[in-house]
Amino acid sequence: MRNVEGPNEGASSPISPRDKILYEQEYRRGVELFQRALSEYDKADEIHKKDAFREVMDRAMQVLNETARELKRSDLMDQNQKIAQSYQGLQDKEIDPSQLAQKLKEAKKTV
Amino acid sequence: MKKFLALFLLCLGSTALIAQYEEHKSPEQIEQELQSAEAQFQRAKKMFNPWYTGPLQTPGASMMPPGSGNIQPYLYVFDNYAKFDSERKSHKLSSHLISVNPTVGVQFGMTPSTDIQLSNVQGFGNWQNGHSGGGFGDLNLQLGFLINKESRYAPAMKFVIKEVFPTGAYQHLNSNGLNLGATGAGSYQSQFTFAMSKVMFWDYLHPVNARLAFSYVLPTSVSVRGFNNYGGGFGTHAKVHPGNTFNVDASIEISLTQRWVLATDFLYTATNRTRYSGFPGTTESGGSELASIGGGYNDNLSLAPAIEYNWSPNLGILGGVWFSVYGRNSNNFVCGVISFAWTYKVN
Repeated sequence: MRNVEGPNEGASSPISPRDKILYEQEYRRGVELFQRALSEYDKADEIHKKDAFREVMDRAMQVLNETARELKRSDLMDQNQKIAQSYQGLQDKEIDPSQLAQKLKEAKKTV
Repeated sequence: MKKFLALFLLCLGSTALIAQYEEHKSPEQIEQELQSAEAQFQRAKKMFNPWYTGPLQTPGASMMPPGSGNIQPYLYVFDNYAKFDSERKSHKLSSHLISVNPTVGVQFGMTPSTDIQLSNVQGFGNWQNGHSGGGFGDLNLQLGFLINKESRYAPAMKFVIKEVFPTGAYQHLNSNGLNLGATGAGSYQSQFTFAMSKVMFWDYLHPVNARLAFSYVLPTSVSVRGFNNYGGGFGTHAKVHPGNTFNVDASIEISLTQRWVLATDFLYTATNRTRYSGFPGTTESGGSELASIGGGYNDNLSLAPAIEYNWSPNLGILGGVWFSVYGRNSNNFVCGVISFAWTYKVN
């Protein structure tokens, strides 16, 4: 069912304490899911399996971006940008998975 | 002009508002996204690297890595119980022709894009109507060249050149006319094959491996004496021009689990008329009735369902039944096949 609140209410109204807690929990769970998918992606040696974990990481990244935006926390957005850059570097085989894992570890500490 | 500009800005503003509206996600919506991603993660964890031994007939397009080898013996037991005539009608044979054909192929990787295979090191044992014959068959040597390595969307593609050397018996056969001693074609044959294969994960837990191969065989002419693989009789002294052959082979392997796999081949082969020049011989010694040599255009469609069990990515066993379903001037047969494949490091 579609959310019926108006555009301004959703985008600029202050976030409720309840929602703030929920978004922060979801951010942490998004990071954890990203970490687990990265670990499995690193272990997998079959292209289709790697792709499946890459899709999970894509979805986890989306959760990180959405929760950071809803929390209106620029530090999380900056953190997400660093994660996204490392993630892109991993896919381009320019960086080691451990570098991305480090970024995720740091992100988890920020919430 | 101003009206158009105003309209444009209005549209732009509306789009931005809609985008803003759509971007907002409630905690519940994000929770759903997380649960869906978590479920996908759990499914992905159950994915396995599929192991394949087969299928029975269709050649694959994967390359043997350099420094690795593969050995794959087969045992075929044919029961040729009927023949398709030129009208595609099947006629039962008065006595079944039973053939036992053990064969082995050995493949090595030379470079990442080239491999070599000594295939069909084989023998034949034939029985019919109380008579028997057999011996060593023709030898095949083939070189495979990588065209495309398999990726997420593109299939593996390979080009193979095979040469058949006529090491089997094909002439001076027993005069009973059954030609049970024929174990080879007598001609050098050059075969060109284009093969493709692709593993697809339509279902994460039951991946499918599909293969498709087209090949064309160009045989050289062969001189024959007496009873021979192409027919003939007493006093035959002729030159046979075997027809070219075109094959289309397709197969599918469905992983039930990593170890158990179901496979099926769909095989079609068509050969042009085999002609001859010279004296065909006679049906009886000193007789006047001429023997026949060669034959008309022939084709055959067959299926080969099989089941595989793989102990590891490098060792598996395969068993199945190969049978004809349709043909013209060809054998109507059923064949039991068993094989195992072992891939190993050479150094």
